[in-house]
This record gives sequence, C-alpha cells and structure tokens, in this order.
Amino acid sequence: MIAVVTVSHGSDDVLQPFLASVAAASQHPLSVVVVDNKPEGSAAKTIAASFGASYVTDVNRGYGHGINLGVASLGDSADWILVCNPDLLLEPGSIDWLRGCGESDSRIGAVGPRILNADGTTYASARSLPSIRTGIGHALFANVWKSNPWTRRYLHVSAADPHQRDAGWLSGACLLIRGSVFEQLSGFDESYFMYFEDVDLGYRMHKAGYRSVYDPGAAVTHTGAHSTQIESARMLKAHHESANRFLARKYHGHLLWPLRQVLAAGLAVRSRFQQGHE
Amino acid sequence: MRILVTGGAGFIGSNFVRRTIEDKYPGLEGAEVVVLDALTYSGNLQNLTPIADSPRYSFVHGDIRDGKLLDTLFPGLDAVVHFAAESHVDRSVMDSTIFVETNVLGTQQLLDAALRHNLARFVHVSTDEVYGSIAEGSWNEERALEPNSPYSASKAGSDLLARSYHRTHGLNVSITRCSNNYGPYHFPEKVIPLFVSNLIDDAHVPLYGEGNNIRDWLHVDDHTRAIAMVLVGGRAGEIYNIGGGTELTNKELTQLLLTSTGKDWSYVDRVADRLGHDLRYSVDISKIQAELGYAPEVPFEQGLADVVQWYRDNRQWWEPLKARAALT
Repeated sequence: MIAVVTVSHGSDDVLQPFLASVAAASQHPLSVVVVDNKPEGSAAKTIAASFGASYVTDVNRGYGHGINLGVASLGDSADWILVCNPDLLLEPGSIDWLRGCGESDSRIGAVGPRILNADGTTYASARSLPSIRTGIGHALFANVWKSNPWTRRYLHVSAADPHQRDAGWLSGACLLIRGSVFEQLSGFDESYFMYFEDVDLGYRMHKAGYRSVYDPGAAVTHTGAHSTQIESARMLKAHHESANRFLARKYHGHLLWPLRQVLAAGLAVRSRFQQGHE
Repeated sequence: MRILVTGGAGFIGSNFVRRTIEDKYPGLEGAEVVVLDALTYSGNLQNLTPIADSPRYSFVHGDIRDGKLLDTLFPGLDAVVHFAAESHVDRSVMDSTIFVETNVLGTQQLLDAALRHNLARFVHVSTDEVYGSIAEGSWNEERALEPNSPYSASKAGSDLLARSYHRTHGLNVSITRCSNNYGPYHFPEKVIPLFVSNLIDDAHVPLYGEGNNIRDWLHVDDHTRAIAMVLVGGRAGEIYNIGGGTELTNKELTQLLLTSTGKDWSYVDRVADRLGHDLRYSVDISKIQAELGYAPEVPFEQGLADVVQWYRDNRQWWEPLKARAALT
C-alpha cells in the first residue's frame, strides 16, 4: 500500500488541485491523509472527503509532528509513504515513478523528485548534509555572495541534470519514504517546529545505512510557499533555530562546545542580516 | 569514449556496464558509461552496486520513449548500446501492448535521437528468437525472420527498424542476435534462476510440457564480450549472431539443475506447454567468429555451477525480487 500524507495549514485554496494531482500520480490505490493543523474555519475536511482522503486534525506542533500523526493514523503499515506539502502539483504517474526507483534497491530509504518552482526553474531539493565548513560558509555568505563555494556545495545545484544521484537529504516538501524505514527511525523528529526536520531525517537515514536518492525523472511543481509566505519573519527565526538544533546534534559533546558557539553566531548574523533586508 | 547503455540496470545490460567499467573490453578502456533505465520490475540498481562509485558511471532513471530526455543525454555521446526491452515471453502472451511500445517505439525514439545528434555508433541488441523455430541445423544472419511470440515479433520489428535506419539514413548501426542467456543477476522469473532459487529452498519447479524444447545456452559474460567486440569492430548495417555452443533440451537442463542442487524429479511439476512455444532455436556463429574472432569461453558446466553458487550466496539479492513478482 502507498500512503500520501500532507499537512494543511490554512491551505484550502491549494488542497483541491493538489489532491486531484495526487489521484493521477499513481495507478495503484492510495491511502491519502490530510492532517489539518489550522482547522478553525477550514474547508479542508470537506475537500479531503470529496477525494476519498481521510482527515485528521492536529494542534499546530509543526510539520514533522503533523506528518507523524498522519502516518500513525493509517490503518495498515504502508510500503511507501509520500510526505508532501499541499502547495504542490504532482506530475501524472510521478508516485509510481518514484516507487519504481525505490523498489530497485532495498538500501534506498527515500526518493525525492525534481521540485520545480512556479517559474519552471529547479529548486535545490536534494542537498549534501550540512557540515561545519559548508554550514558556516553558507550561513555567512549565501545572501551577499550567491555563488560562494560553500553554498554551491550545500545546495548541490544542477538544475537540468537528469542524472539520478545520492543526496545527503531530500526536501521534506515532497519525498517518498520506505514505510519500514520511517517506522524504524520513528518518523520525523518533532522537536523541529519547521525546517531541518528533513535534514535530520536524511542524516539519521544515512547513519542507519539507507540511501536518499534524488530521481529527477519524476517532477512536482511548487505553486508557491503558501503557508509560510504569510509569516516570513517568524519562519526565518524558525529556520535558524532549527539549523542550530541540527548542527548542535550532529556536533554534540563537550569538546565541540566552542564550535557550536561559532555556528550559532554565524546563524545569528545571517538571521539579522536577512531580517534587515526583508 | 562516452557510451549510453539503455536497459543498463537489467540482467545483460548491467553485466556489460560492470565489465566496461572494470576495463574488461579491448577498445573500451576508460570509457564513460551513462545508464538509462526505466527501472520496471526487472531493472535493479543493485545490479550496478559493484561499480556505483566509479566516476565514469552515471545513472538516469528514464524511459527510452521520452525523446526530450534523449535530447538532453545524446550531446557528447560516442555510442549507444541498446539493451532496453520487455523480454519475458510469458508476459507477452498475456499482454503484448508494452512489448510493442517499449521494444518497437522505444527503439524508434533512440534511432531518431541518434540521427538528430549525428551519433557515431549504435549497437542494437536482439535475440535469436526473431528467426523462429528450427528443427535441424542453425540459422545464419541471412535467414528470413519468422517470429512466433509477441515478444519475438516486437524484437523483429525493432531489428528491421534499426536495419532500415542504416539503409535509409546511413546510421552506423549493427544488430546482435543472441541465444538464451544465463549467469548471475538473472531475474528469477527466467527458467535457470527460477529453478535454482526454488530448488535450493526445497520448492517445486514447473516444467513446460514434455521438456523437449531445445535451447542454446550462452553465458552472459560471453554475450557482453561479443557485444563489445561488435561495438568496437562490427560493420555498419550488419547483423551478428552470438551463441554459447551448448544445446540442451529443457529436460536435460532440468536434470543438470536437479543434480547441482542435490534434488530429484519429485521436485518437478509438469505444466501445460506455453502457447506458441518454439521447439528449438539454434544460431550459426561463424560470421562473428570469422570477422571479430569471437568464441564462447565459459564452459556450460562451470558456468552453471557458478550460477548455483551465486544464487546460494546472494539470497538478499533475489529473495525480495521474487516476493515482489509473486513468483514461486
């Protein structure tokens, strides 16, 4: 069984086209779950019902929590779970395409499609795991020197490249995860409110011996960062808090305390810089 | 040299890719390989694990029928070796649609891309089944095609299309026609891996009819070495038969498999014969011997013993595939 789990946060206007695209993305029966973490005044329940999707409400404890709740609500354990934002349109057949890739090697834990921005450009959805050097370099220079080597290494951008490759992590905006691996890793770490829960999942998947594979043969289109556009400053803060949390976990231990301080300082500088410009 | 290998995650294609990256073929040393594979049920990335870290290898999950994708892959290519095909006869008996779509239309897309991009060299990999059944003697490359199954008919269609692109457009394409392949990484729906994997698990095996059908067995290492020879030295517009030199009835093959797994005939279930089941295939390989110096090198007894051992040692490879295809 293939499951599709999405989290709606005031996403009524995008939910209907999203669910319609999901229905055409596989020839197999799908178990679709809409987790609604902003249910007040939302039409998500009605929309979900019209597509035969199940509907679960959640208090807003973040994206990872919502996805975990959605997966837990599935009756049977799923062979594959598509974790997906609702402001996306899936290409017809794309879920089956990703699954074909995942089934081709039992060591593949997750497969991510090409994610297209609304203007047709490719979003860097499959990246290396942040390390100390790339983390500091990207944090300090991403906004002032766009082609800096640290950012390039981190984003691993190669927009039109059709070659499949292994990635450190895949964007949580859309990825297909092997059900048994999701279970083994206990899903997303819910201590990330948003951002970096996907980085963390990729990191833990890698540590457990599974591959994260970017498969640009399947594509989805981002219709706009819908629910985060509204609260940009708050989201930026969440991004940097999560970045800090991830790097602190990766480089844990007493001896690495000075390093963590440097990373935190770098992220704080970037945060202030960006806020001043947005 | 940069080679696009279609179907490179399959049984024969992946063998060619591994051996190329291992620099086993004279004339192809240092070649870069781009694998294009749709990863349908029989495509398996684990077949490429041994060379996956080579900087000379890259993988594209894609469909040979996707002309736009081919246009992104063909610039910079020196050659195409075209293995991608639907190949299981039993499946073609149930539904031939995908056989025509992939084998005929897919080949046409590749040939057209080769023309658009002025590709220097194309090898189209085919099968001796396009000749049809032969009671005595062996077919040479001049023999008219009389395919009997929807699978072999679709392959014959693609062969003729490839040949026509040489005659009509001057494309530098050669065609190879092989006999029955066996070896490691063979998808467990085909007779040898199906029988071996069943027998080592004490399960029964199905034998079609009386088991009098005769096949020539070709080790996959011999086959892909011959393809490399054709790629490097074969003539444009020419067809080359590739055989292994060991003819066996299915009954004889079954006996060898029973012996090598320590089982007896009580493990064999007779099942109704396959529709359109050709009695005998046999190819004359004197052309490729004379022109390119090919001769099969793997003795069948050794090759078969190695295969049995390989399936014993690589359960983690075939067990999930068998479960997935719900095969017994």
